[in-house]
Amino acid sequence: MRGCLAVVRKELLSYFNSPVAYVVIVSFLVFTSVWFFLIHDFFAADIASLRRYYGIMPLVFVVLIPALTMRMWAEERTAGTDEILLTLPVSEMSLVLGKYLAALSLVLVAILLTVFVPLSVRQLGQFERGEIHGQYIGLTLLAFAGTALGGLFSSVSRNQISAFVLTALLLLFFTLAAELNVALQLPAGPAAVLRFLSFEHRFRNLNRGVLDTRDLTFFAGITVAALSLTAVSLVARKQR
Amino acid sequence: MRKVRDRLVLRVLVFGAIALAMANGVLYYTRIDLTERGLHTISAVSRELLAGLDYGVTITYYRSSRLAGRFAEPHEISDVLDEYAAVAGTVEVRVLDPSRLERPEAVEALGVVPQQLTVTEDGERRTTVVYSGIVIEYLDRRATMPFVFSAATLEYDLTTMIDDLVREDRRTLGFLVGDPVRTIEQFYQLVGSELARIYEIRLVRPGEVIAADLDLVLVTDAHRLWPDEVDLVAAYLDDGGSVLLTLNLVEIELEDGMRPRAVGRTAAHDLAARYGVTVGESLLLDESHNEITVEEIAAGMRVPRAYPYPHWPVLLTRYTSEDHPVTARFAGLDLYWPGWVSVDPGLEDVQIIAASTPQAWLMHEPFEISPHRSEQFLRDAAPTRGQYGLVAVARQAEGEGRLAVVPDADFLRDDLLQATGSAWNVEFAAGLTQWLSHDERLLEIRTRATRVLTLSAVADPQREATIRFMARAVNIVLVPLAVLVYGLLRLRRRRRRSRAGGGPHG
Repeated sequence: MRGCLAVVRKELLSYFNSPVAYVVIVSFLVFTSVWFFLIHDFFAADIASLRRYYGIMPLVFVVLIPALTMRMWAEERTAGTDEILLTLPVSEMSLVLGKYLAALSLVLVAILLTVFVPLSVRQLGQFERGEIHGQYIGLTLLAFAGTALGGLFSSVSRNQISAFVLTALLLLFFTLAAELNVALQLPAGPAAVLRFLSFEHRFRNLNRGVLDTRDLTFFAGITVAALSLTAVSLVARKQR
Repeated sequence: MRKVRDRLVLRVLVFGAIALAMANGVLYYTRIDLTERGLHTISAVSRELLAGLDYGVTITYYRSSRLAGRFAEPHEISDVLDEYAAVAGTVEVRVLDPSRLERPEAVEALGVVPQQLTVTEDGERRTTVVYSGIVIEYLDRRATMPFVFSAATLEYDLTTMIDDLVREDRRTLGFLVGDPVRTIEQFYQLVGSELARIYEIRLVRPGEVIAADLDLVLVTDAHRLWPDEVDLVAAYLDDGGSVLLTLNLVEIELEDGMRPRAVGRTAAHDLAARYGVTVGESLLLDESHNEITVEEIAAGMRVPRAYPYPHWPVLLTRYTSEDHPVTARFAGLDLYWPGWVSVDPGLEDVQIIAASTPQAWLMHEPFEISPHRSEQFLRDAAPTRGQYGLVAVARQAEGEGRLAVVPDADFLRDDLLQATGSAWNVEFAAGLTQWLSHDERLLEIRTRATRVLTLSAVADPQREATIRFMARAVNIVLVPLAVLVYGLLRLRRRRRRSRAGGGPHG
């Protein structure tokens, strides 16, 4: 546990000392706000609901999460520090968890900074508070699963760019699985599998204020599986 | 070697546990409604109805697996049905795929309507038939929802249908059109279809005695009724019936250059006055209004052009009664050349439930309605500026008749509703009819999903503009700028430290 916390601390310092994290978070905040207030034109739409704002987040996370997680392991590999890291007296799972929690904290900071949107418009209408709570639970679950997948792809990639591309592609697939389903008009079996895997479909319940334990189990399962696979890939590398 | 084997076993166990947990989560699950109003939970009204049933209700959802595999909506519908089964032991829910039945087309005999869906199977695009209909059975009675593809109003629809099945009869609404030229099919089809979901509709002709067993009567164009015809409506009201009365002050012939014709005081106006509702004899214009689109000739072509049109007021939530069940969750109401109403303040059971903005004004005769002569619209504004009633309701003793008066017979006309996209007028009328037929409890389910969704909580336009500006400024500029400044300060401090320490880790 102590080893894990030490890794978290070191990683967090490293994130906050790098300009990449600030650029990514600022781009995320500007893009989502411009989309919501100017492109979607929230005030002209005249609807006291933030579903459209939070509804676009799964798609925005396709870029945000890989941009923050790409360096998790790939940077160590490029710099050649991964071998030193693996020889430290810390278990693989502690390493994985430490790096994961640090990257997750960064994604959660980005999410937390969006609370100014509901706070700044709440006086204008009767916003459903439970819906907003659901939206934040949903974003947190998406962050849990997305960051774990980002960590997994960073651990198996040779460099940060391939980690970014692989994670973005996978998240895009998970996010748009249900849409693919409609576009490709697949047979019922594969279509049901795609719908099961769809992040957007899972997020839809929470976006309207319904917490379904099936969605919780799904995101928890993806997160634990991705973290375990990351640990497995580290062990394999260590054994080589 | 043993260590490697142990690790392998551990990995297999971990992934097995994850797979089992996910499968278990799919089989045994619960849904928690986080909304304050319980928008996604079966309401107390439905629960009480289901708990009071003497016999079981079977709800069968005929859902094609092709549809369920592709879209989320059929699953949302199933979730609502599962809630019904969970809250009452008297409800049995079955989900069946018609294609797996011996005779799939048999569901059509139950009233379920097939829909066409294009699918690609084995590399070929083909059109297939899908179903998504609900059949409710109670004893030997049956009701069918032919095609359902949204859970938005499903609870209201299901509970109303179950209530109708249990009561063994449907509520009945009499539809009386005062204008002999107008028919429901030509002018009031939208409201007619919506009301047909709730009531059995019986056409009442002007001059026909109104049957006492009708739950309520909708009288449109009441100003066109002759005094003896109005007497029949009054007699129905006196016998404890309920009436929704819509009447005009002017008649506008849209096809005739929008020429207004003053109606003057009619027997229908006197009927409203008997119940404490006075209909004013001026047109109402409002700062909150829709636009009117008229065709103009430009360069030899007909070109549509929109003009701001204060003769078509848009009612705002903040000027409706929060205490009345019809307007407690007001979604919207647009009027067309309305008059105005006032009520006798001495009468407790008569009230205005929707009013204009305080910036409305009146126009006395001669009326000017042409958008090309808008300078005339403010002619009588100065002495008449103020707030006016637009919908009034009156109730007699508990359990007796009720009256609602809307000083605009055009607010349910199909062509005008389509011109301004005012579907909420139909919703409003349906809500009024449910209040008139003493169905406040069902009205509660109907309107709970249509809570005030507009951004209209701030009355002062200047304050509203400031909040809007601040929201944009804070989220697009200030918060990102704050993050950027924090990052720059941090990076600068770090650089300074590293320079002072002589190295990057100093």
